[in-house]
Amino acid sequence: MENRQRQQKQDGSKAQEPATNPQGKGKPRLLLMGQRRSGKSSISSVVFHKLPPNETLYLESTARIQKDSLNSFMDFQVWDFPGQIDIFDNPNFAFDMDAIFGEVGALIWVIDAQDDYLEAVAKLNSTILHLQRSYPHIIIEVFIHKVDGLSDDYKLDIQRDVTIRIQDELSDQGLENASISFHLTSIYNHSIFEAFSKVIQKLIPRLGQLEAMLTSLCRTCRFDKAYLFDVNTKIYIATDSSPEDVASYEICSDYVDVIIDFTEVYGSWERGPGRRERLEQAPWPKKLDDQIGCDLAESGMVLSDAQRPIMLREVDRFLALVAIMKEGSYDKIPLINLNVDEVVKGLTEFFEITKHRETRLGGKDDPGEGQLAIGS
Amino acid sequence: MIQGIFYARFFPTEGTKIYAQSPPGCIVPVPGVDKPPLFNFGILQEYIIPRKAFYNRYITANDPDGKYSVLGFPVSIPGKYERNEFIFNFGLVVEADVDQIPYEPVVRRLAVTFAEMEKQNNYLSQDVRDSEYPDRRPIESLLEIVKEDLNNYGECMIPVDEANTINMKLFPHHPTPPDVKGWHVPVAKMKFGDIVDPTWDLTLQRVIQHIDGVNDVRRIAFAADVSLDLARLALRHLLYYDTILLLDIFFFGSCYAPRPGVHDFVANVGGIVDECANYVCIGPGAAAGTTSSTNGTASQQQQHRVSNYLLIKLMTSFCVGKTVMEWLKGHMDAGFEVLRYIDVRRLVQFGVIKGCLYRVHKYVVSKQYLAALASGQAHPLAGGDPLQKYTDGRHSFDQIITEQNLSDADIMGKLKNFKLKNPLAQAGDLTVLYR
Amino acid sequence: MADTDVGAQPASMGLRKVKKQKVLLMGKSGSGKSSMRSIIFSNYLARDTRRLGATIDIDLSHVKFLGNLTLNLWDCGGQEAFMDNYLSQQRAHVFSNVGVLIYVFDIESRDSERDLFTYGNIVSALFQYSREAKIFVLIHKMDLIQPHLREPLFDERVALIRRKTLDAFNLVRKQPGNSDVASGGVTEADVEPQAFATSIWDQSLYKAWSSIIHDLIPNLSIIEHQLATLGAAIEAEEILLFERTSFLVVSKWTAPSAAAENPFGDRFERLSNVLKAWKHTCSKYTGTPRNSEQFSDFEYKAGANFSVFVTKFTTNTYIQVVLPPGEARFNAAKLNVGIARSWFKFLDGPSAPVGSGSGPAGE
Repeated sequence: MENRQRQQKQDGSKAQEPATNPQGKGKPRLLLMGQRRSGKSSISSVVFHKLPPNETLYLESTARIQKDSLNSFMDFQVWDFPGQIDIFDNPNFAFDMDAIFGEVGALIWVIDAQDDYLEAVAKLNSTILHLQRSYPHIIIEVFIHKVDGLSDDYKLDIQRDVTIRIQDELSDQGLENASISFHLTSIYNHSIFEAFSKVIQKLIPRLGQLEAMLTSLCRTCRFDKAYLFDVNTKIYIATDSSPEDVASYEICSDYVDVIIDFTEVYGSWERGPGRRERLEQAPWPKKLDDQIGCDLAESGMVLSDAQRPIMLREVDRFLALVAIMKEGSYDKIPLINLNVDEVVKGLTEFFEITKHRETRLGGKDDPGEGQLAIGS
Repeated sequence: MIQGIFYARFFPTEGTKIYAQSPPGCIVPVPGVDKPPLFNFGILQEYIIPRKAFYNRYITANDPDGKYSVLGFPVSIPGKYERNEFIFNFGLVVEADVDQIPYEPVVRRLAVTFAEMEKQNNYLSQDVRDSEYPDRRPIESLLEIVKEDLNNYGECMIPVDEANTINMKLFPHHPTPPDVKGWHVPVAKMKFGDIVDPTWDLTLQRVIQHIDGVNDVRRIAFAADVSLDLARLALRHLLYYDTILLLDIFFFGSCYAPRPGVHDFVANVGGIVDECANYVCIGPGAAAGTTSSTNGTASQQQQHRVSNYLLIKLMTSFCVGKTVMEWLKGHMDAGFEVLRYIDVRRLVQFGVIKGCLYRVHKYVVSKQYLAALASGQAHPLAGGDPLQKYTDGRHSFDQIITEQNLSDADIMGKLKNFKLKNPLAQAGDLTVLYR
Repeated sequence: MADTDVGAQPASMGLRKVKKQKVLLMGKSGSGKSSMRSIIFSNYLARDTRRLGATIDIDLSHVKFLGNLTLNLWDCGGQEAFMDNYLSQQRAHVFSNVGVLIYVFDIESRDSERDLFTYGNIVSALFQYSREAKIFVLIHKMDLIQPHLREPLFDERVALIRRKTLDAFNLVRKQPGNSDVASGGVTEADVEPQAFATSIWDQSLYKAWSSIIHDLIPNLSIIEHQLATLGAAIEAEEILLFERTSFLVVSKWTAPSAAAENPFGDRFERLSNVLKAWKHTCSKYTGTPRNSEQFSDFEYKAGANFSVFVTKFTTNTYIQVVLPPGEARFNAAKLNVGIARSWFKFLDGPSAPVGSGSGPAGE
């Protein structure tokens, strides 16, 4: 889990050059588009490169298409489109539409809510009309962005206005049921991660089964809420069926951060030689592997308020299960751990199967190996 | 007198600064003015722009020499300013020994007006010295006008911009007057007839006609045909502006006794005895009740003027337990025809007003009634004698007389019967107290 | 730190009396003094400090730190008028009995010449009235400088400040009335300010304040000694002791065998920052005040790599123990840390009875 963070950062710098990686083929693709200065690059830097939000001020405007590939439980490509290029009407350069849109899973259109958005809406409309003809399966997600600092009422007003403008225009053109969703986002809070979570969830095959697994775990173990997190991006790829709750998502996501930090500080480097031998001597003369209870990372935190525990369990290199437990259920942890073990096994199998069907990337990953492969 | 007026501001880098002052150099020195400031600004600045807890409150501080007081009202306006707030204070400097109460509304008004103008159009935070606002009056001159007008006329009316005018007036401060009772006798301190005009309150106009130093409030109300409560209210207004005095009804059956002030009378401090003689002496043929200032009557009075010795003797011979009647009789028996030379009512009034005498009130107390009250039975003899409620020792005879319309003797007679009518009452239950 | 040969001596020995340390926080207006104070001691989020108003005159606060240490913190408004006042009318009042002067420089200041001049005046006053005071210099708002320029700029500023400090010191020493400065045994090396580059947006603030606090904690050697004893007994790799509210590292112990291994030299301030951020998250989630206690227990077993737990220790502290992997080792350590609590009772206040502390159970 630990070296992913740094790996990510390296990915970020590598991604400056377009991904020529043959593996790029076949990966679901997320396209980030929108007017210039609407915040596309800031979004991808914050979500995929862990840039602190206040440092996005220094980002230069994007001149060419930036391609990031995101290695996670599923491999994604994120393409950041410069706002100033009009791909449909460019006299200098004809874009290869198929190359761009052929494998796109979702198109994310970013609108700056603090700016005059009429032009952005018009442009989005024309883009949708262009795309609907040839690529009707593309999911369109509109991020009404930079809403931090706006009042709640004002936010909703903008969302309503944008929604009506787009739907009216499209129905005038005869497109009644294009699949378009709207999200209010900001990089200064968790809303951008939540929005991405929703987008990604639409691209996951058999999401329903994942959700059913989590729901049943919640019922058995009396969890309030459970999330399956992609650890790198803190996007959650599935949750149980209980109602959405921003506060729960925030605390779980921040908990993942705490774990990442501790992992990096204490687990991302090689201990001196002879450690294993030393540890297998008295007073616990057993094989180290037998001394530990679980070879995956597991963690628990008890909040002072009502003694509410939160637990985290690593599922594989990329995913972690985070759950908020019912008040005072910390005593039942051993029992809960057994249940969680089963679910984690189930989840691992689930991804084995879907992964093999999707693409053939590398061999089978042993989650335990992932834990100890810390060489970097 | 306002010695100085200033406008202080808190600047994010410089700190507290006097932005404008009048007269120049009164708070902080300015080039070209030799006069030293009134006090050391460095020492008092923490009271001019104080800590947060004191914002938006009226604050006064004295300088270390105790010579001047600084009256201010520091205002903090939160908002999109450099350090999230705009802090200022319009303050006055007055001598430490003057009554500060009239200035408090002025300081508050300045704070409120300018705070409002700042909120409306950033009046204070814009740089007024900018040439962008050529027609705007600088704050210095504004302050100067405020100071001069308040000092010279007690009020000011200054248009600051199209929307705002500063209207201020120094109101003299009077304490809340005491309650006026039906048995009080108002005495005018000025001639109301000369200053009354038709715009006055109608009740007041009617009431003042009957103030003559003899009529009690109840009688004034009756004579003026206004309700007793309205008459009392009207008189209270006059009392507030210190235009009347309240005395007791004069009865020959009342008691008076000397107060420490009588020493001044004996010593004739400031010619008080002569003043008294002018007021109280009557001679045969001289009209009682008017003190004419014409030379003729003055010389006539002169002839009948009672000697200082006698006046002092008269004044000092009042004592507790001796009614005016008894006092009179004593002097008559001693061979001095008091009534021929002296207006006794005026003598007593003079003594009371000048603080030489005080009225000894008469109360009646029933032990049984008090016991009943103390044990919680408020009305032990409901439907009993109407006088009974006065027998708790808290009601003077004046009150009984005016409220029951009985004379002193009537009351005493009734009280005697009162015993007989209530078989429970034992002899000696009622006591009459003088105090 | 590793003087493990001494047996567990009674903690009461050498306990110093409660001492109110006067800590002056000074610097030009708007340099960020109140912001950092609010973050460290009042649990503000960095972005909340934008809402703070200017400090008027001196803001006194008594920060209770570890029960037996009360920081007498003087947050001095930096406006020129106030500064003049501190140096003139309030000179003796402000500068006597100072334990620590923390002087904050704004790296972005337009007029650094003038800033240095003011600093010179302030340290002169300090040498005059409190010659044994320690000086900490924080070069603040480093986040506003491009990363690659930060270090050279910092070094340059610090060199100037050093020179200014020594000039002021020598000047004061030469003055006829102040010859006692020289005789007091205070030398140039003693007045050397410790400098830190800080920003409220990252952990650098915790590093600086941790060092400042570190110098003020009484009985530090006892704490360190007992932590070492505990660490050795439970075979820990590392133990950190955090103050409860600020989450500053009060004391730390690293196993001699692991001392040089961890490549993260900044881990202490980093963990302060991480745990404090977590506190904020909890407070937002539970709706309880930021200053209240937010979590009581945290444990993390990273498979066959390491284990760590953070738990409430004494009333005023949290303890973090890093262990080699192993369930039994983990559970025994938790129990033993619970037992060791009584050794550290003295951290909660001078009146608390000092536990004589029997040795930890070996198992």
